[in-house]
Order: sequence, then C-alpha cells, then structure tokens
Amino acid sequence: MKLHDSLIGLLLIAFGGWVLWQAQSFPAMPGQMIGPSTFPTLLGGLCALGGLLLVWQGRRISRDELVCIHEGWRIGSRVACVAVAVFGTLLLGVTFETVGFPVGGTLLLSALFYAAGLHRARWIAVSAIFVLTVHLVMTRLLYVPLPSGFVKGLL
Amino acid sequence: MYADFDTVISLVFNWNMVIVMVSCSAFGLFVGAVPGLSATMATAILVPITFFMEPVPAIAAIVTTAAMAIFASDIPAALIRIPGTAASAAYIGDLNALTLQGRVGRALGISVVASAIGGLFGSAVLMLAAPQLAEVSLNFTSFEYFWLALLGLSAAVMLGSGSLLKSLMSLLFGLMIATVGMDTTIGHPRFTFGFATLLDGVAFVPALIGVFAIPELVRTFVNRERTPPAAPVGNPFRMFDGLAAVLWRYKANLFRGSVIGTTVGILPGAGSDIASWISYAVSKRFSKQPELYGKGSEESLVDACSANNSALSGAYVPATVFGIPGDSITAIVIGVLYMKGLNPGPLVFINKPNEVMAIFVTFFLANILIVPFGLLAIAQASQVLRVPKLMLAPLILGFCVVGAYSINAAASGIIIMLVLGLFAYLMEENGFPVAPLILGLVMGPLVERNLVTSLIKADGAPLVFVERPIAAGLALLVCVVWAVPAVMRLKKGRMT
Repeated sequence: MKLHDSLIGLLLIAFGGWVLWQAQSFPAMPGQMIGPSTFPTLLGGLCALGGLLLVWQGRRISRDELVCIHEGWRIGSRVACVAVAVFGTLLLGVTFETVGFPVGGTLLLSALFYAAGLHRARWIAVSAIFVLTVHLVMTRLLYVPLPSGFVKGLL
Repeated sequence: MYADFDTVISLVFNWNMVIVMVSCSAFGLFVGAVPGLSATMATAILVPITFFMEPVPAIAAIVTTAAMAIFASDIPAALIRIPGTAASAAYIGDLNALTLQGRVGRALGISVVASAIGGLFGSAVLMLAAPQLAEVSLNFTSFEYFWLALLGLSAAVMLGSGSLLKSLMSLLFGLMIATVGMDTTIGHPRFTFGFATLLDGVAFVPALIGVFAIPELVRTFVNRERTPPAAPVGNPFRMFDGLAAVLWRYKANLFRGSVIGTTVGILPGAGSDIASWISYAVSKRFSKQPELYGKGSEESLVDACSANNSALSGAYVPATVFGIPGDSITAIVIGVLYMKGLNPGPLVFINKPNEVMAIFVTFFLANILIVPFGLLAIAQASQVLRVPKLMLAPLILGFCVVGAYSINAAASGIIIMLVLGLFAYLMEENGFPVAPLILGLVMGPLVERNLVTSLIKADGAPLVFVERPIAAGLALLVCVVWAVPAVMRLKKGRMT
C-alpha cells in the first residue's frame, strides 16, 4: 500500500506532536533542566518538522492518488495468505505459552502452506516434521525453553 | 592489545568452531543463493542460536554466514539475472552477459576468487587498524562520542539510497523506538503504555528479525514472482582455467576494489551494496574499455566483487572500536557482542584481547572458506534455484517465531517482531529505507547517553561541545557531511 507523501507527512506531524505532548509529562532530573524528556522532545520536534517538509515536498512533486494499492493485494488468495500469516502469528504469539510450539507451529505452518496454494497432505507432514525438528534441536541441544504446551508429556 | 597466541589458536581451531563454520557456510550459501533472501536476514535469523554459543563461535557464525551469503548472491545473478542480495545488483549485467556468452565458469570463478581476496584484504585492514584506532579512542569523552555517533548517523542517512528526507525520518523512527523503556538518567518509564515487558525497551533481536524478515515474507506472499529457469553451470572445477592470468592482468583493479570496499565499509551506514556500486563506477571511469561494462566485462567483476566482501570486513572497524555499526549486519553483531559481554569499544581490546584476536582470525578463515564452499555452491546452484520461495516462506516464518521468542523466552518478542515487521513493510512500500531505522535503534541509547551527559557537563555553554580538538574535528566533519550534499544540490539546481 503506497500512501501519498503529503498524507505520510500529516501522519508524521501528528505522531511528532503526540511524542512532544507525551514527553512533557516526563519528570526532570532534580536540579537540572535536562532529563528523560530531553531526547524524546528533540526527536518529536524533528519528526514534526520532517512531516511538514514531506507534506510540502509531496504537494510540490507528486500528483498521485492518496492511496495506491499494489496489484497483488487485489487478489483474494494472496490477501488471505498474508492474513493467515499475520493473524496466525499474532494468535500464536498470544497463546504461545498455553498451546506450545509443536501444536501451534504445526497449525500455523500447515494453514500457511494451504493458503499459499499447497494443498496436498504432505505439506502438513512437512510442517509437523519441521516444527518437531526445530523444537527438539532448540530444547535438547541449545536448551531454549520453547513451550511444549498441549504435548508437554509426550515430548 | 597483547593477545596470547596459544589461547587465540585454541579459541579458533577446535571442533566446535569447525562445526559452526561449516554449517554456517552452508546456511549462508543457501540463503544468499535464493533470490530475495538477504544476508542481513540470514544473520538476523541466526542471532537467537548464537545466544547459546561461546562468544568466538557466535561471532564466527555471523561472519561466515554473511561472507558466504554476499558471495552466493552472485550465483543467481549470473544464472537467472536476479541478484541474491543487493550487493550483486551493480554488476549483474556483466555476470549475466558472460553467462549468455557461455562463460559462466569464468564469471563465477572471478566472483569467488575476487570475493575471497577482497575479504582477506578487508580482514587484514581490520586486524591492523582496529587496535590502533582503539588506542586513540581511549582519550574520548562524551563530547567526542556524541559527535562520532552523530557522524555515523549522518553518514548513514547521506549514503543510503532513496530520498534523503525519508532516510532521515527512518532514522528518527529508530531513535524513537530506542527511547521506549526506562530512561537512562532517572529510570522513568517512557512510551511503555503500561506493558511491563516494554520496561526493558523494545527487544533488539525480535525487532531485527521483524524488520528484515517479515517484509520479505509479505512480499513473497503478495507478489509471487516466478523464477526463470537457471542456466547450466557445467563443471565448476574448470572455473579456474585461465583465471590466474585474468586476475594478474587486473591486479591493480583487485587492489583498488579492495581498498574502496574497505574504506566504504568503514563508513557507518554504507555496506557492501554501496561499496560495489562505487567500485563499479570508479572501475568504469578509469577503464580502457568502458564500452564493455554491462556487456560482460571481466574487469568490472574483479573490482566490484572484491569491494563486496572487503566492505563486510571494513564495517567491523567502527563496530568493534566505537560500537558504531558500519552496516545492518554489523548492527546485529554489536547486539551479539553486548549479549556476550564483549562490549564494543576501546576497552574490549584491553580486557578481552584473546577473544578479539580470535574473532579477527575467523574473518580470515571465513574468507578462505569462500573458495571451496563457493565451488560446491556453484555446483549445486541449479538445485537451490529450483526451490520456490513460496515453499520456503512458511518455514522461514517458523524460524522467525522461534528466534523472536527464544532470546528472552518471552512471547512478547513474537508480537514485537510482527508489529515492527508490518511497520517496516509499510515503510519500504513508501520508499523509507529500513537500514537507518535499525541503526537508530542500535545507536539510540549511545546518542542519548552522550548527549545528556554532554549537556549536563556543558551547563548551558554550548561551546564546550567543540573545545577539545578531536571533538571540534568531528563536529567539522559532521558539518561537511551535511553541507556537501546541500551545496551540490544547490549547484545542480542552478545549472538546470
């Protein structure tokens, strides 16, 4: 998704303003003018200034439409694939400790293969073997405490 | 820096290191040879695994992976005219033209040997220059560090591709993300939105994986370009036929490419891709046959391929001496060095001389390994290039999830990776480069700490910032870095 520069500029101005506003609530160091707000204030100000320049530059140079969407985003199956990747990963992130990597990872990868147009059952097997191999390598060889979740007793 | 030779040897030459370097060579070659997967992404994925290694193997893993990936990106560039990483884009025309002329062996032979020689040259410079620079930098105070950090950030913005303003904005985003968490002065929580996991700041590794891997995965799912069939390689062991004569003829180019690569690599923010473009341009400017450039020039390949890998080593000079990354890969390495207690800076050369020297030796080994492993990779290239990215993408996402989680054993890493990854995708779609963002994220605490300390020391007298000679010199350099492009732009405006 491509946004017009002037629109991005406006977003940057708003964001810079928000940072400046937030920074004012940070306390100063005792006996000093300088403190936790100094750096964010500087950055927020620069961000708003950069946003202004981007608005000016966008209006001067480009007359494109405000929002331009890439061809690939108009194809339902591809959008579905990205949606599975994003929301699947988000769901896995939120439930990671409970569901665990072996089950959650296999489900995510299988769903992703399916959404990518790889419908055969062997892709479920590929997902399961990949996830189990990674899980075993990480937990047994590298001692990374990846949660086992539902299959805790089995692995 | 006085290293104990025996200890260095025992740190480098052991079975653990052999396993690490061989497996990372294979990994780097594979990722580099698959178009669209970058060397930075390969190293970012590797970081969580290095977390569980000793310091020397951990850095060796990253150095080997990056060196192999940068070289391997020449393979798809030659065979299917798609560069594996941005570093090969400068001379892709020559590589592919030689392939079409039936001289693919010569093209990849030059690439593999020039890459190795360039890398060895850069490693030698690193080994000689870094300790000397470290001695000078022992006298640095917060003022010098502030100007140095500013110089690094400025160079990164100026040398990046695309719009200057957008590069600057990207850098600001990185610096802002670095302010999340407890501040360094009085420990006040900033921009945490009440999340306890953000009190320590945005975790670096999940952010890194997100910024470099997630946008590529999204693009893979959305764009789904078909990879054209690869050209046949033939016998890779015949590649060295007549190669020595070519390299001898272009020995000055080999030296020049290595010097340019190392110099550009040392500049913060400028990596292998910029080094190869500059080296290619210089090569063409001074060539007796500039008309051959883009049509199968062997001379251009010698220059640009040697610049590629020497830049990679050069980038480690500011990274080890000052903790300022030369490119996105060294930004990752700095994170790993901190994790391993080898805090980059002049003191590491005094406190851990054996480890530092061992790391430098691994640079040489990684670049020597390019030749045998490169030949194997070239032999297997057709098989590697047959693997569609769409099939690899879910597996890479699996690695990313594990990597983002395992660094702190916290699921919040997965969320951070996802959020920053989607943000980076939007940034790239709109022409904002993501490398300055990572640079800002890495250098944010350094810049803020030195700025605040200097402001307190100055006590309202700004001239203190330029009172010391090195600080004044660095301040002048910062002014030059900003003024030169502005003057050039002004002149260009008047001429047109």
